[in-house]
Amino acid sequence: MSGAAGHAIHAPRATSGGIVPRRVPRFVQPAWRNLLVGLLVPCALLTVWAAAGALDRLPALILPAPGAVLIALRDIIQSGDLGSALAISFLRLAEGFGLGALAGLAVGATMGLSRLGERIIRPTLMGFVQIPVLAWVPLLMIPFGIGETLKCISIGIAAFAPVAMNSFKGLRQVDPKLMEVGTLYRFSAAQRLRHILLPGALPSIFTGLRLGLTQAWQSLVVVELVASTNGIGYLAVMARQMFQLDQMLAVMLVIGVCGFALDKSLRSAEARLGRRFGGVAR
Amino acid sequence: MTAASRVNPLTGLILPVGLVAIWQIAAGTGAIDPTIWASPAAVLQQTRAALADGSLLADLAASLERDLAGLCLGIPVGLAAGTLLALSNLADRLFNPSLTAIRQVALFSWVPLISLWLGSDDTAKIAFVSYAVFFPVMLNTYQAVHGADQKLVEVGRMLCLSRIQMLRRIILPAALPGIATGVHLALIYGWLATIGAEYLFSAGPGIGSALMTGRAQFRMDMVIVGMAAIAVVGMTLNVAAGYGERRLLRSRGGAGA
Amino acid sequence: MDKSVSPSRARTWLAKAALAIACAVPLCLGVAAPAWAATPKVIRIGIATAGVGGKPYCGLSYICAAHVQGLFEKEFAADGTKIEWHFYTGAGPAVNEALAGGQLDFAWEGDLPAIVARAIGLKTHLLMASGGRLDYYIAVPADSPAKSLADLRGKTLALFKGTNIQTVGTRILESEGLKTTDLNVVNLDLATSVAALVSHQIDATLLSFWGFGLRDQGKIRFIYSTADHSPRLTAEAALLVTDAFRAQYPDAVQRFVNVSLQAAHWSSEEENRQALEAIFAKTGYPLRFFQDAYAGHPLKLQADPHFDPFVTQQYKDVAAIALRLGLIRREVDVDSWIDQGPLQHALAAQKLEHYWPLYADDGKTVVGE
Repeated sequence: MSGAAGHAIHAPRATSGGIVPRRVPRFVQPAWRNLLVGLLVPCALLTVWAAAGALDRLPALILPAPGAVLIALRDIIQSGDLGSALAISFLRLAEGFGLGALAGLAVGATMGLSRLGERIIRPTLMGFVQIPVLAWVPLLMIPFGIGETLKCISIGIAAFAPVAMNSFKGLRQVDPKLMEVGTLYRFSAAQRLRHILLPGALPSIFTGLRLGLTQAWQSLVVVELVASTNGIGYLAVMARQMFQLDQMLAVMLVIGVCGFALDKSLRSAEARLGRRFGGVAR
Repeated sequence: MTAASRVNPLTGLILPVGLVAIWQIAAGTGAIDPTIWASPAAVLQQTRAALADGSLLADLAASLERDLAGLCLGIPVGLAAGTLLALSNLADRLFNPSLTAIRQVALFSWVPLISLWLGSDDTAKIAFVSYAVFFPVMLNTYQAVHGADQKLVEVGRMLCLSRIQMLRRIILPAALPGIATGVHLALIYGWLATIGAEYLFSAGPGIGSALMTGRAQFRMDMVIVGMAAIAVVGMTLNVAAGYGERRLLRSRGGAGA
Repeated sequence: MDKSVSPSRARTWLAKAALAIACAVPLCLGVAAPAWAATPKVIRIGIATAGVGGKPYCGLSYICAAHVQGLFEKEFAADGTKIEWHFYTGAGPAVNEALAGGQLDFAWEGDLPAIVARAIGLKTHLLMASGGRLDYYIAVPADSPAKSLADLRGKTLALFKGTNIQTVGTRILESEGLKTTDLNVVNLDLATSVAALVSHQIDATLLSFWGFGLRDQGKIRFIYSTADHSPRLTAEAALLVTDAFRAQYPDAVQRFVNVSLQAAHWSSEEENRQALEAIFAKTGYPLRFFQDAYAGHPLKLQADPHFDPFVTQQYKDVAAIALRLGLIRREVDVDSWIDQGPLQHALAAQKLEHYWPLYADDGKTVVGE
């Protein structure tokens, strides 16, 4: 629809009389219009905020001027604090998520592939997920203190449940017709796993991984606030201790952007995976 | 899935009983450091003690009070916002992007900001819980009202119902199951937010604070008792909400589900 | 013309007079009201510490003595003013949050958080010093090989940032020629840092009397003590009042300071040492800690309310450190922040002008009498 020329699209031209070609400006396109309307409220708020700041009507204790927030953001970028904090946090996320996802896949697969495994594990798993990750943190802090182990395990626990549940469901919900085909072709268990179960369960598994990563990210933020030694949560805690609202808002902005990026990239990966493996089980 | 329930339910107990047994043996033989790891027996003892002196119930009551206050604030606002955004195309296009953007900021990262704005007492904790509850309710209400079965809406138009009547008699009843899901999620997230608030705001009575006190004093038995209490309340809320949802669905006759 | 007033006219006149009086009374009350409103309905006091496990007691200031003895309650009882006490385990930063939210009228907090509050625009005034000349120690686990601060290079040191612990820590490090970047400094609250030290998760922490128990049990060791060095290394704390409260209820502020001074005097008399220890014990710490902390000190020293050159210089020093470390963005003028009025007034009224010696910058030499 939108041409490579970018700025305008041309309605179809008719060779005989009748349709007059129109140049429709791109920004009137529905998608663009929606974007602009969507930006109205934040722009209005931003303007009011900036004006209040300029007119000195903002109590700095409630809301610093938007310029101050940007300056604070620039400061933590330039000092390298933000970079190192994000590096630490993302590494932690990767480690914790990796741990939890692996465990979740193992447990989910055991439950999904073995009825006996399901009977043994499922009730305990159901009970386990009733305990929120938050409730685990004080317990884990006693033996593990506030170091990396605590954070890794907490994040792992958060990722574990969605991955386990979704892997289990995915394996169980593979289309029985496909299973019949496997029986017809006298597939061995390994072949059945490779050609039918895994591809069939993959979308569900991936959803579990996506949900697990979301949970892991949320838990990362909490753990870094509670047991605060380094990372992005630490920057927020420091801003709170020093009552530096501009830095606080800058950090929250960064957290929002990171969360959005994580979620978006995973959703698009999931969509691509769904297209590749077809609409099975989801 | 029902195949599992038809078989001997005791197989489900193998794992938990086994784990507790290993735990008790390890604690009894001293294989794990007793100053750090509490034994199951110690946990039971602490449960008895905490129930006897009423501290467990008092803490739970304090937390639930805050939870309730937050729910009473967040759910109505979420309902109103979700309904408004679903019914008004303009409001939807104006506010949805901003709300989506705000939603990207991880829930608990709001705590330091709220503490700077509102201090650290109950007001701040309740405000945080309300915020945590708002989005699930808003999102689910929005989806539910938006997705109200068009056939029913057409019937309403045929009957020449006014907007209010349409809302009351067609749209809201059709959206009720979705709204119920939102409230169910609100109960779960609200409880989570209540506990987290007690960790991160100042100390006060509450089960989360009790957990932190237990940690500070290296009393794992206190912590485990608190964890169990949190899980029990969470489970109760979950079950109650699920039950309410199913009842609603049944009374709807499955319409609009 | 009939000179007498007809009954109806009399009634009307009476009615008008009654109305006039009815209107005048509230007016008079309104004029007199400010005088009545000179006492607040409630006085909210915030303390930047709490006892063991968050117990609502503090131990080391004459304000705490006043709390336990209910002195403020007695003073303001006749006016029907309620006294509200708030204890914050989050220390100074938590008090600042409450101050910012308008939830406190008086606060007792350390030098650094008070300076941070002033730098961000919280309008307060310092009324009385109440630092107590507490000694601080760098503690390491008992089996640590570290013998001095230099051995801690590259190791993890826990400081409660944003509180006057950070002040002391920074001063100690710099006095030994170390920079905060030479060590890995982490932020932990007091209880967590002690627990982390014992379980070897950190290599060292700065603490005071709350570490005595573990030291006596042989679990931790002190490798540095401010008692062996200059008093310039210790931290200060003070009583401060919000400008809003101060402007609205100057009488209440004066009375508050009067009572605080009485408590300070009481806390300085040696004959009250045992009673003082009992007050300290309410925090949940053994009173042995208090005894150890103040064994060699005259009691007067810990209850000294003066903003003498020493204390004033300490505050200016902290302001400079905070600015240098980037903890605050603006300079803080300490001289205009201290309000000597109520204190001097109270000292004169209670004839205590010469009771406490005034110390010069170094904290050791006495100025004047």
